[in-house]
Amino acid sequence: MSARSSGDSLDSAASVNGVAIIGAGPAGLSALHQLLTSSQSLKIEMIDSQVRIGGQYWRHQEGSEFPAIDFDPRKNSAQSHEITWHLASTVWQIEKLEGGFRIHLASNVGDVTSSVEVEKIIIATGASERTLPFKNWTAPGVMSAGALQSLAKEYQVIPGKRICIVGSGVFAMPVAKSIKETAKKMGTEVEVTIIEAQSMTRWWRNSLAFLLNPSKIFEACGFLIFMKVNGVKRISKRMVRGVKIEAGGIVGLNVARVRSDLRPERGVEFLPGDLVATSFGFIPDMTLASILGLERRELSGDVVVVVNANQRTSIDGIWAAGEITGIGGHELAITEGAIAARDLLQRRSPLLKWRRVRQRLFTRGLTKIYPVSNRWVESLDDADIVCRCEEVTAGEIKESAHQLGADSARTAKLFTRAGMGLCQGRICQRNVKEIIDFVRSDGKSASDPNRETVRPIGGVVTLGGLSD
Amino acid sequence: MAKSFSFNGDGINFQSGDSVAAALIRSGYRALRRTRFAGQERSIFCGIGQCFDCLVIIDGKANQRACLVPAKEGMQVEFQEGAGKA
Repeated sequence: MSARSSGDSLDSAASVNGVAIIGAGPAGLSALHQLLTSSQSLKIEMIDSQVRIGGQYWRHQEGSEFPAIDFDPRKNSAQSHEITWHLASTVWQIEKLEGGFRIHLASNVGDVTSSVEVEKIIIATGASERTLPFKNWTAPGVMSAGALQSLAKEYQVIPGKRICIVGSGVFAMPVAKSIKETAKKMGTEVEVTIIEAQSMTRWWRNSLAFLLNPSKIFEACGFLIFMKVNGVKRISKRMVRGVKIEAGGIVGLNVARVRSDLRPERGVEFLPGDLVATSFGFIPDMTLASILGLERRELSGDVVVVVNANQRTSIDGIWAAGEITGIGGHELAITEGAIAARDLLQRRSPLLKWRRVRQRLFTRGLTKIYPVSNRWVESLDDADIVCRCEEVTAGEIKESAHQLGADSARTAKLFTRAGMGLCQGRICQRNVKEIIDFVRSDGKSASDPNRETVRPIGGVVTLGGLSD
Repeated sequence: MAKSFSFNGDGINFQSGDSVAAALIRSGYRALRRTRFAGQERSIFCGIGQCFDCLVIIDGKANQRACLVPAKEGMQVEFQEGAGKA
């Protein structure tokens, strides 16, 4: 990786024959914002799998803006630049060409394909939510906290009357807030309970990071006050063991007291509820990064893209920003996207780099407050489904390690089909890996971050679409 | 007049900007399909097109993600059994 900016502005130098930004979330939009300031006319391809821009963080209603970037890219006429929006499009393959790349796109239904050629790529594919399996987590009425937030915030749908959000991490708070705000707007009553695996007192561990990010103190206090005022209940040090179903409907969930490593203690308590949302943090979406063969490493249990100080990856002409370089939230993603685009334009970013140091310190601190150790596996019964697509149980995965010698999510997949279904392991791969690591007597991982997540095709494409 | 599509023949009203899944859940529906092996009912899970659990048949085409497909007037949506093949 040679990674120094020359200091000269590209604006007067050789032209760039096209830049693709893959992912129109906070990192991608922030990168776009920077590119638009270039005095050289740029051809920019903006690609996102969703119908709307904004990524998972800004799943706003149509017509709203992106406050933290302070511009609306759709309204920005940018006379001197040519922006093409490829929305509802999945990148399923990227070819390396002489001095550039060819990006193959498929529509979300997989049967309309196209391709674009660019010289440089900023990859910002973001993250998806992490969920852990438990009894009956496949039942209708159990969903990820992100799905619940999208229903409430984006569609004004409150899918239950007594909603329980179970898991670990800060995400439950904005979700609870969205539900309460939407319910208030609609004039309906909804009960919301947050069940958090960790203890609140763990926050003192992050005090230095808070002091360097004072806005986070206000943000945290704002949430706590909101929850108090709006009657959001909060239960700590409990983890879901299963959802209870009677007469076809969810009536509540069983929770058990857990230690900070998520090891369950004896006894369960019952909590009534008719909708269960679950969230255990986020997992970087590495599908395209691994197709490209970008160098990867492990960071607090996640596989992430290796980048240098200018967000450059191991491949010349490709930058990475946002969650795929390490889970860090939208503010860090905005900073990283800006640094990447500025480096592409051969501009320096000393202030942004200091901001990145501060923000990384904060988010890395959060992973210390909300660790997800693989002891959660102890809460699982052998009959519980782990791979939702192929309906593979925990017992089958454990057996593949005990009897067949599976030592990674990849080998377990070959024996059990876990991770081989339509979602291609996006939901279960990490959990399968942790089950395998947990049951192997040495407890160590045999996974290689540069092999584990490689898939030949990055999305759903029909054979008809392929042959076009 | 409210816009609507059909789900197994029932009329489902939707608002502009709704996904098929959002409109169905607002109307009180939960289960959208049954799995191939255990015949378990499934519904929306990730809500962002990654988990492929909210598969339905739309205008005769199986395996469509209800959370991604925008609701359209007159659309015919069906509960999907297994892989959605007759």
